Amino acid sequence: MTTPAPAHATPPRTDPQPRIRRVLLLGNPNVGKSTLFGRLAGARVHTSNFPGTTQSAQRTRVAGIDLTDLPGIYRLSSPPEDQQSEAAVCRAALAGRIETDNANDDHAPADATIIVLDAANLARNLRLVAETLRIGLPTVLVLNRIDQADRRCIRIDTDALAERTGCAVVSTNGLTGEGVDKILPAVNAAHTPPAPVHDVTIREWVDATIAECVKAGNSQADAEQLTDRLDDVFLHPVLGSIVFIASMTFLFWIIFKLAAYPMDWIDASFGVLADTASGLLPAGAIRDLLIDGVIGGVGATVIFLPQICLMFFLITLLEHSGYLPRAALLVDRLLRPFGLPGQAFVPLLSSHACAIPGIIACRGIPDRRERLATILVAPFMSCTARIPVYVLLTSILFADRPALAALAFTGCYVLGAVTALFTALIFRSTFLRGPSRSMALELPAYRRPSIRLALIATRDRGWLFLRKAGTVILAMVVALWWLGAYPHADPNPEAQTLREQAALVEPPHAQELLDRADLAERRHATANTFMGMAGRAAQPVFAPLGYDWQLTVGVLSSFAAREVFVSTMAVVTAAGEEDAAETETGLQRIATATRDDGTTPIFTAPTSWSLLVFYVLAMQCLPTLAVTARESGGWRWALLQLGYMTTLAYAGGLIAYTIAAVFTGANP
Amino acid sequence: MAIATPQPSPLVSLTQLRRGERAQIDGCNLDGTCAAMIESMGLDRDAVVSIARVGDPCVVLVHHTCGGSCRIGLRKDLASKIAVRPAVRS
Repeated sequence: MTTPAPAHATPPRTDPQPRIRRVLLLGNPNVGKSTLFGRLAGARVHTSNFPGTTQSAQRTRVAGIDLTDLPGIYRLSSPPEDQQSEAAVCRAALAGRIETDNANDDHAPADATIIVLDAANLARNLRLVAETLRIGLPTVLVLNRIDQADRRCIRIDTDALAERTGCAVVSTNGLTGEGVDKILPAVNAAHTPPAPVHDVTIREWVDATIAECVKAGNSQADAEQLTDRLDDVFLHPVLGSIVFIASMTFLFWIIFKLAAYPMDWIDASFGVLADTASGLLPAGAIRDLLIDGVIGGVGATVIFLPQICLMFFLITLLEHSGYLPRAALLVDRLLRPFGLPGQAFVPLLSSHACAIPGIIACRGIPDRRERLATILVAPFMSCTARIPVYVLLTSILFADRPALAALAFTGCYVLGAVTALFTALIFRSTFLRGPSRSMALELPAYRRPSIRLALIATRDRGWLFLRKAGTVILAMVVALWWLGAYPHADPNPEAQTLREQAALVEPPHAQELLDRADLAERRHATANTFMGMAGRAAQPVFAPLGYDWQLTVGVLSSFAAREVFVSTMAVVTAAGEEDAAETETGLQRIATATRDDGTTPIFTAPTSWSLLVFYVLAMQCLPTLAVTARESGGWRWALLQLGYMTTLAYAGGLIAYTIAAVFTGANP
Repeated sequence: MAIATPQPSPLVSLTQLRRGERAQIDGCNLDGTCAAMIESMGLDRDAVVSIARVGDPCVVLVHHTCGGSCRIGLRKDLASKIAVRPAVRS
């Protein structure tokens, strides 16, 4: 231990300070900083003990102070090549160069800082204090988790700490809220502290400060032993993998099982809304736009909300329990050969439910390149929206052989996952090339997760998604609806003939004729919309894959949402309008529908294989593209994702068609 | 402070320590960013550490002078590049 250095070269200034308006919240990862921020801001912030979760600075205005929560960092300094690091973000914020989502944020330099310290781990935390004090801003030190320091018999002399650092010191317990009310008054009264003397190293200053202000206690051996035992299980290659697979299976079982109910309610509510609007409004373009475009489009997007909320609620609970960093460490070994970190596993796995929460969950990946690579490949994972298409195509391919159909179904999932990993490898070796962050993670103590904090995080994520659904996604969905609905075709002569016949026959028979007339009308209308015209125009492009114009319309119309394929095919092939995949007759009608020549089936075996591969690999989800643009920080990444996924889907479809044609003896 | 300073002994890699064995970090053979990262987590020269879990990944406890400790999970390839001086057992 070195001799304690002089506390400070000059006594604290007492002259009046300018009013404090902009305050930055700094601290090591896992010190409870975001929870404190949530308490100061009145909740509304995502908190977790997964190192580096707070990827972007979050702001709030409280009592006239503009408070910004910065990412957790161990040090302010970082190697010059590491310009994307959290430390670089914090330095930018201190210098008033921070980028936020909100254009109204002013970017002036900070007036003061609050540094949150883990009272049970002061030695490491004080390094950041020393670095920050050298900048010379009024600073308040918050000794958080004071209860844990007490439990470890670590006694901190807060007066001595205040004297030595020249900063006000406030003790808090973020979980109970104790002491939090003293933080802002301390900030308002804060003065510029004298910088730690420059003729000693940071380490010497920290050692001297500890010697002066802390009475070290006994390490909490019992708690450490329990943590050791749990780590032995969770990090064990075999036992840990079993626990991991079991917990993830349970997680997704809950998501699939429980989300189905609210999804049905949402679906039904939007149905009622559409019916009500249809009853109130006169027929015409406005009604079509409102019902088919706005209500239909928003309904198709909002239906994902229950999955997103459940996913975030459960993942936040796992994060807060301390298990997630262990799982990331365990899985790192599997993902590292593909240039992805262990933290990418949960986003990739959750993309099997829906790529949107998966992409948002990529915020847990600290390295920018690794995060981008994960975002770009996440939509390759087979999401639930692909299931109706898989069901249709595998049952066409293996009509009376359910075992083979199931095998093909599983194969789709494997193909998606393998493509994602190898694509990530290609990206990480080319334009996202960069050193992998070696896996070193702080493993926080296990603790009981807070339901309240998980609910807050879930509400924030859900709201973020809804805001997106109400703006960009809505605009895109309406545009696609318009292309699929206009221009209105002239009346179909075939439908007219059927209606005339219906007028002459008995009611039961007449109804059947009227139904057939409606179907013929819809088929005729679809063929003459911009989408139908585009289908005919684009058909030559898809001809090598074996698609006729009707399949091309199906593929093009599912650009916005892939599950639309089945309902479009039902309309285009004039099959039953609803539940095409569910009812045998509807499915059979689609399966046996013929091309314009009247004899060749639309779905030959090579065509079906080609479509199956195409749908595994294609990017057909506008909401996902919008979320990619948001999370990656630009539309160019979303367009890149659309570009390479479509190219790969086309190439994959072509290869599948050619191989299947050779095996079935068809002429490719 | 409460932690006895380990006696000088031959350098070994962090992965060669037994469970519960204490040692003092001597240095690491890692590139700049990586070295800066683990140093900032508390695994810097002269830090007193012990192993809580051997294998891949391994778990290292960093014992701070304040009486606190923190738990760092490390992949084995990273841990093998950290040189430590084990405490001589009395």
